[in-house]
Amino acid sequence: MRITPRWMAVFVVTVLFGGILISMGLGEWTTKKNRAPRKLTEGKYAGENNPADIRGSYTFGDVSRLFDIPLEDLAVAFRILEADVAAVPLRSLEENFAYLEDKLGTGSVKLFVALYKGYPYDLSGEDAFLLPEAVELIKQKTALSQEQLDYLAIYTISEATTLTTPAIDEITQPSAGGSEGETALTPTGGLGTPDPKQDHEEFAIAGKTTFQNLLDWGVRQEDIEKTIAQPLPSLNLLIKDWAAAEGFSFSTLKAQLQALVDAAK
Amino acid sequence: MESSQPAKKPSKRLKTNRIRAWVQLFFFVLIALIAINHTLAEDGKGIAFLSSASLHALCPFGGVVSLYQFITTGTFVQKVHQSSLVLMIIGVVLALFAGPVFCGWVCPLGTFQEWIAKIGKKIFKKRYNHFIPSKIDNILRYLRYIVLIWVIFMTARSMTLVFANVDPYFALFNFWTSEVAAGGLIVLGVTILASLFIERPWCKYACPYGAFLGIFNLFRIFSLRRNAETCINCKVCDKACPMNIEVSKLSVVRNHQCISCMECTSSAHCPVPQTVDFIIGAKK
Ligand code: SF4
Ligand code: SF4
Repeated sequence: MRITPRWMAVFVVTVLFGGILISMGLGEWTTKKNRAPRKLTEGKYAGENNPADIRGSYTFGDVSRLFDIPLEDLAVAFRILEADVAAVPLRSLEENFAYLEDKLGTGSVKLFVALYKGYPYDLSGEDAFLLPEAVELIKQKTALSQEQLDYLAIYTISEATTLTTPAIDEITQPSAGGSEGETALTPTGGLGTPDPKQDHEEFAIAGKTTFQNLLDWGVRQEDIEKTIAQPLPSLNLLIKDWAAAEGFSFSTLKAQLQALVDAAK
Repeated sequence: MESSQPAKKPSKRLKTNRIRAWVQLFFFVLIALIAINHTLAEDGKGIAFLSSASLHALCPFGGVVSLYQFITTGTFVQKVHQSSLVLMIIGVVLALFAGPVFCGWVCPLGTFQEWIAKIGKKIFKKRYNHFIPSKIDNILRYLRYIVLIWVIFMTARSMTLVFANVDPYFALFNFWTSEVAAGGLIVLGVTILASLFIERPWCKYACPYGAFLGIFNLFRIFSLRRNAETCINCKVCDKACPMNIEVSKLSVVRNHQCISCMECTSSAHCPVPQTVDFIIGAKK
């Protein structure tokens, strides 16, 4: 039997899309990122997920699930105040703690998980920092070796650093349900009040800006409601998330709201 | 028996393989749209009915390089998705029957090189695709197996997608994003430039996935055969072949470089009906 180009085209398209459809039917077609880390291969923890393979694309929910750590502990260790702790991506740590000059990031989560679980972790060449709350939690959970204690003595971010930091972003801004401990970390400006010394950058709407920030920056509620054509949603909602949920273009909305911010200054 | 008469000029040139061109265009546009949608989706502006998958998820070669890790640890190399493994299996099924039909009909990078080749053909006419002496060329054609071995070895060792750093396919559909590596853009640039002189230079000399699929030509079920009894030895098939395979000297094409594009067949360039064809079953 001869195969003409027409038959070849039908063959290619059928096998390709047919194969994809079959795999979808079997639940094998996943185009999402594979979140499974590598396994530890040696020692008594062989077969457990390897914290060294935690990636910035993970959320705290992934870390909690993959390493069996309660979300509450992760929230305390990394001062996550968002209501949905599980949805917070690790890579947002660096952004949220930018004032710590990259001391706190995905590397800190790797270190925390390894020490919290009592897994062996090579500290030579390690330079990740942890917050005091994280260190406290680790000490409650596991008996640390002298080497680990020595490391933490150097690589724990001091409370003083965090309290005197001039610009702290919304991860440490008080939310509606914020506790006293949280407000204690608010910068000198107080409950989200804009610091007069803040430069223009800090009045720029970004992915982490909430509706509360807009009010704090002096934008009137009516103006926001006029722009979004509906009553103001929950103040702690990220504008970006709200735009995505409502089917709005974030960049267009951002431009419109930024004009209000600029006018209010 | 092969004709011993001097080559006669074919009276009528048959139409080129238009169906393939349409299939190629379809896959190129599909992948381009998905790549754009991936970028839009990151800003919350994605088109709902279209996939917004990362191109890593739609690359069958990801499945090939991930195979070692998948077998030994049950996980995928970073950035590789389960869909890559599915596409790899589909690619293998296609290749078992028809050889590297993925290269000739689906791969958008192959299509892109063919489009640039049209400019090269206009500039260099008959010299196009014949700049490298065949002795050297034949050796260079095995380079892609070195690339294949290197990529598989390095990926297995590092457990990261090392190839992403030089992948021109990813660069072609992501040049506007920060995800693309400088190495990928450089390789893409070199490929574009070389395509003005050589047809499908990336496929011929460097593509590790093409190398992998090329192995299936040795035993593909649809065999590409030339009927020596009806062949008039005009060598049109040789000229039509983008991979410089001398079809007119073979009775069955098992060359590892054949991309199953069917340009040499009697349905496209060969002017004599039923002389060069993909055949299932016994030789007719
Ligand atoms: S097989 Fe090649 S040489 Fe023979 S007739 Fe066809 S195009 Fe010409
Ligand atoms: S031998 Fe024929 S099918 Fe194979 S690459 Fe050349 S033209 Fe295409």
